[in-house]
Amino acid sequence: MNHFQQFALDQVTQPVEQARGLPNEHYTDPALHEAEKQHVFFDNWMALCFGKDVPELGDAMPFEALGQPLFVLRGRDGVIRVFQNVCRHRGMILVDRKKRLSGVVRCPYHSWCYDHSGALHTTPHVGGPGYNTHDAIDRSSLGLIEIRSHVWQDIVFVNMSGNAPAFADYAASLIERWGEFEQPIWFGGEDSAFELDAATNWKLAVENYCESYHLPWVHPGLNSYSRLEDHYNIIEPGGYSGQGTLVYRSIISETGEKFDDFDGLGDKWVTGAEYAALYPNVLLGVHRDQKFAIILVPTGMEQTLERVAIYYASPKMQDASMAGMRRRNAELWKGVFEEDIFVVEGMQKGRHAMKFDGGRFSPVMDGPTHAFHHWVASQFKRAP
Amino acid sequence: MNARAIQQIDAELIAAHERGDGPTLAGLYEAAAGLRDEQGDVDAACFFLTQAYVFALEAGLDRSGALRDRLIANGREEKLTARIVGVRTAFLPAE
Repeated sequence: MNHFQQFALDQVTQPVEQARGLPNEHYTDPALHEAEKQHVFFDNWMALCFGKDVPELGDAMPFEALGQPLFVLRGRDGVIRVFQNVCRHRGMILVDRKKRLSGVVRCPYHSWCYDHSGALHTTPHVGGPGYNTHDAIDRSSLGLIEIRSHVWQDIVFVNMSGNAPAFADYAASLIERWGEFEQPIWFGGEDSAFELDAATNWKLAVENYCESYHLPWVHPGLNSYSRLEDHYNIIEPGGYSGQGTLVYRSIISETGEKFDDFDGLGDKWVTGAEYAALYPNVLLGVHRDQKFAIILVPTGMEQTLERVAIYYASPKMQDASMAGMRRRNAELWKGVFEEDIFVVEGMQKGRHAMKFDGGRFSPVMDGPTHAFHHWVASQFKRAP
Repeated sequence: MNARAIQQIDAELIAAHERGDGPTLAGLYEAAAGLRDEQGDVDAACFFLTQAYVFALEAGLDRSGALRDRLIANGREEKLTARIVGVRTAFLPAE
């Protein structure tokens, strides 16, 4: 890092009253994008996918994690594991599409086979035709490369470097904050998941999600019952940030039906809801009757796929009889998130303005966004 | 050698490969191994047994255990051991 870059990051980590935002290069410079992969994503716990993506035993699905080929497998033992998606033989991609594995993972090239724990099970013809062993091939050292993973709230997190603290420590503060919600959740099914594609750097989606400042301007529909003054900032330095509302209202159908509530919630959650970004790339929302998660998939420096999934408090909410309510709820959230697209795409275009200096923060309203900038800058500053 | 039987198996193998029909492939390759066994051609039989074994493994067929045992008996395959089943890899630090 050169002195200019160091100076710019030092400005980001100033108190919010004096701080500037991350410099343009963090949104437009391919070299910094490469560095960001390591320092921001691979050295931390990044959200990769949902457990619901591999719902049944033997389900395997490939993912590109910032260029890294991985696959997720729900093994026959029920454990979700993440592997580097390459054969230890010649580096061939193993899983090229979502599939249900009846047996081993077979490389389509020379058919080296791996069991669901990643162990190398057989190496056909490796010692010549019909000879499946060779002294030089030690199967015990040639299992699939497993990526450190952790599943929390049906989100599969990975720590590519293997050097981050245990996930339970990494996310301890948020897990504790939402401790009342540590109970089973039920995916609403196909009608409760959708994706949005935005021409923006992933960070801008986080920045926008964190603050309520934009609500009256970008989401005037929400403002009719959820005013700006009904919101509060959530700032946990080094871990997560976001906003809370005091006036969440459950959806009620024309016939008076509601989604079931989570068990045993305190009074805070009768009308309260909270929205937080767990750094780096997952946006979460908790409500008395539902949770959602948005995994931000950086598909390019200036392109982001938002994968949204909504979960409910009881298995009854998965019934066909609730489909109408679920669809209505998903459409509501999709409408809100779509309203944000022009903002995050507009800010991305703005990041090409050569004289933009990273911008300033409202000391009152932008604290959560500044906290995220501070965290990103800190990841670069701590890097060797 | 039963040339007609071999030709028949070859044709069925090609069709099964085109369909991606693993269980059928396992059965056909095992049958091909049997024909070679009858000729006393152990190397060729083990080639086909290996093919059968791999497709049985991929399809999750119980038959894979017996196929593996036959390969082991011929010195062509390792026994499954805890050493293999318990493998762990580079990115998992002790916690």
